[in-house]
Amino acid sequence: MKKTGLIIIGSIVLVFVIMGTILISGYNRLIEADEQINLQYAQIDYRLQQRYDTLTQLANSINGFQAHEQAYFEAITQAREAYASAFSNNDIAGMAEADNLQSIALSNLIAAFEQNPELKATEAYGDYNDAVWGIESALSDARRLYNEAINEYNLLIRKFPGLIYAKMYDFEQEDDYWKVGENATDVPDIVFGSTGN
Amino acid sequence: MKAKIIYLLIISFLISALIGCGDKNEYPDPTRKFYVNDFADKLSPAVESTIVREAERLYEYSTDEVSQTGIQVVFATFAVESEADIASFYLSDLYNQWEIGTDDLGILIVFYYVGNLDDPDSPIYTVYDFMLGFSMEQYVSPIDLGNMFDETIKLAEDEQLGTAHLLYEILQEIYWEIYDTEFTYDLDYYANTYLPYYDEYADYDDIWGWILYIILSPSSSWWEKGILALIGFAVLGTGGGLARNIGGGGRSGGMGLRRRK
Repeated sequence: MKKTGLIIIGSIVLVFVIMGTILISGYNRLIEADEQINLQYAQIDYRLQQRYDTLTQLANSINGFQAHEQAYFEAITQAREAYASAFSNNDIAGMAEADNLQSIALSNLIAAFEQNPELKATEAYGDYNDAVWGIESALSDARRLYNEAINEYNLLIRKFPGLIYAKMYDFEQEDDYWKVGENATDVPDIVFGSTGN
Repeated sequence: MKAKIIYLLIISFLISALIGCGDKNEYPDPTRKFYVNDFADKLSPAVESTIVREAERLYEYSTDEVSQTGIQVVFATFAVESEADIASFYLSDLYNQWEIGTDDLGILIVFYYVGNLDDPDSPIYTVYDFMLGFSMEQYVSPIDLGNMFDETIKLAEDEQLGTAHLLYEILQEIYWEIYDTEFTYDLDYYANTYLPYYDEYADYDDIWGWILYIILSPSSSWWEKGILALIGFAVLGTGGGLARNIGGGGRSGGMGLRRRK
């Protein structure tokens, strides 16, 4: 009788330990997925700031901007201001929209540069293109990883057993994907010195 | 009852082990040489050897320094049918899978050879991708990479020489920017003496690397392979490899450069 009692108590303790471990590990997985979103969000913000700083710095080193090129560059600055405003309101959709506007203005600026042979011949133009490719590549990567983190989190809280933990710990579905226009996600196809293609 | 519990435990263990064994890697693992991964089979043994030797030397040098550790420069080549195939490559994912450079101090250089893979004579052009580790962004910018490309590969008539020249320029930039140390090289000697008279046998300073080379080489005879394999295992054991170091846990944020030739 005594032995049976010990077995029952032992089994109950074991069940509690297993349940506790499952609950803790489920909670930790949710926290990790949530933090991954924050990390990737911070990465996008860092890259956007880096893009603006780099473009401004390089634009100042390029002499001979024509009026329409100057207009595109001002559009980039305006988009940056729109981004700052959306950022202060924690408005992800607004930030993505401002990012989109900046990308479009940048594409237009590059296209305008292509039409300006005087500017195209300068060394600063080559540097500008390399810097733009680099930062757009990094930004494109940051957007992709942010959206992947959102997707992973949403799948986790909608699938079993994650949905139980999500309800238990009050985790909600994240809808704020970084939605930008199709063209804005592309790294500009800057080709020079090309003999192929 | 006891047997059933043990049986269940074994089954659970096996299932969890099997789940854990799933290969999630999207890209091929790096080769044993690590610093050069010539999947397209386009680089000459001389250039491959130069890359491994110099990259290894940089890594050893950087691990000796206190402030910065484990810089790795890694080359890879891939043959693809079209540029659409390149678009499906996320180079930062490849960088992160190979974990290049300690403390995110690494550079990955990838050459894509675009053409009909079934016809070796089909027109082939090359796309060059560079990917920087997070921390390396402080020292080398896409503008620097672009300038290095313009002065080396873009001008080179011989791609092997251009590749070696690019490696030397990258090393020069790293040694100077990070360690204030001048790195010098003699490209004329490399072009006129090293490349044409490259001796594969003499190039291995690692004894196991040399033994492995003889064993794997199609030009060595079976008795050479057999005797060296026996001596190698008996005297040296199974340790060693072509590259002494592997990835240092580094990550990239996608900053880089793409050029075509």
